[in-house]
Amino acid sequence: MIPEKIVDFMHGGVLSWVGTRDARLRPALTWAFGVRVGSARDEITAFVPDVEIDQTRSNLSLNDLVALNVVQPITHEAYQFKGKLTGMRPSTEEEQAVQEILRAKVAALLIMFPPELVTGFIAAPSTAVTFTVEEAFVQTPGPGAGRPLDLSAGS
Amino acid sequence: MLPDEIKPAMLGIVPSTIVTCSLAGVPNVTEISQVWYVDEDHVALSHQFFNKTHRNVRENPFAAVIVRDGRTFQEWYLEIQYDHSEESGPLFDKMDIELEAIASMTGMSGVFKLRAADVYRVLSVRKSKSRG
Repeated sequence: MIPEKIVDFMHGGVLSWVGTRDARLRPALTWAFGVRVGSARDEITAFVPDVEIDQTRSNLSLNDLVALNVVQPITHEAYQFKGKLTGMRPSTEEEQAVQEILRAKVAALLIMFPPELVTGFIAAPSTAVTFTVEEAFVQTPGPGAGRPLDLSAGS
Repeated sequence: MLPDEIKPAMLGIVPSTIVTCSLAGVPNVTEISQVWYVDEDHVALSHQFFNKTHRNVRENPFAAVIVRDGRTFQEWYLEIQYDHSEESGPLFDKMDIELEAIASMTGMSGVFKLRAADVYRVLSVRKSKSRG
């Protein structure tokens, strides 16, 4: 179960990247724009823009292993979640609305940059990639990066 | 292979993102402060800590990175393969100085000690499609 304060963090102004790998163990990386944590706090859905999903989709058709890194772009506070795919489907209209809210949150955080730099990314259409979380790690840069998060606690 | 156009994305203005994979097949994603341009076929990453990224590339040399230009947010996707490490010399010295500069600007001076410059061969490079 992902701690509540980290769920709140993930639903804030964060950027996300999804890692997968192919049958030859060659890893691939793509970005996700928006994540949602399931109500039981043991499942994450990441919205991967279709413009960059091909390799990720191909890899996840061969194996179900997903790694997701979620980063706050100013403080660089970051967490990584690893687990197994439970499904891929087109994002819904409601989820696209979530993505637009995220775009506004990120733009507000990155106020020092011209707005078109933040708003110019092609986030839709996107694919909702859902996986169950089996492991989580603190990933904030520094000597503590990689420390496991306790998922057994209730809060 | 690496175009001159990519060089602004390798200045450490904004962090890069890397994925590696263990021999057991588990991917691992993390931010890194900078990817250094070495020559048109090689890049270098800093080895600072004995972390998962470090362990993974010693057992499976393949990795993928996204670097981004801090002025335009243009992203580039690179597939790379670990080649060797340098613990002294011009590349190491340049990276050591620049790493400390990045750390000092983020209030983390002295935290990021460079152990080695890990040099990777570039297998492929392309611009992100996310900006049309």
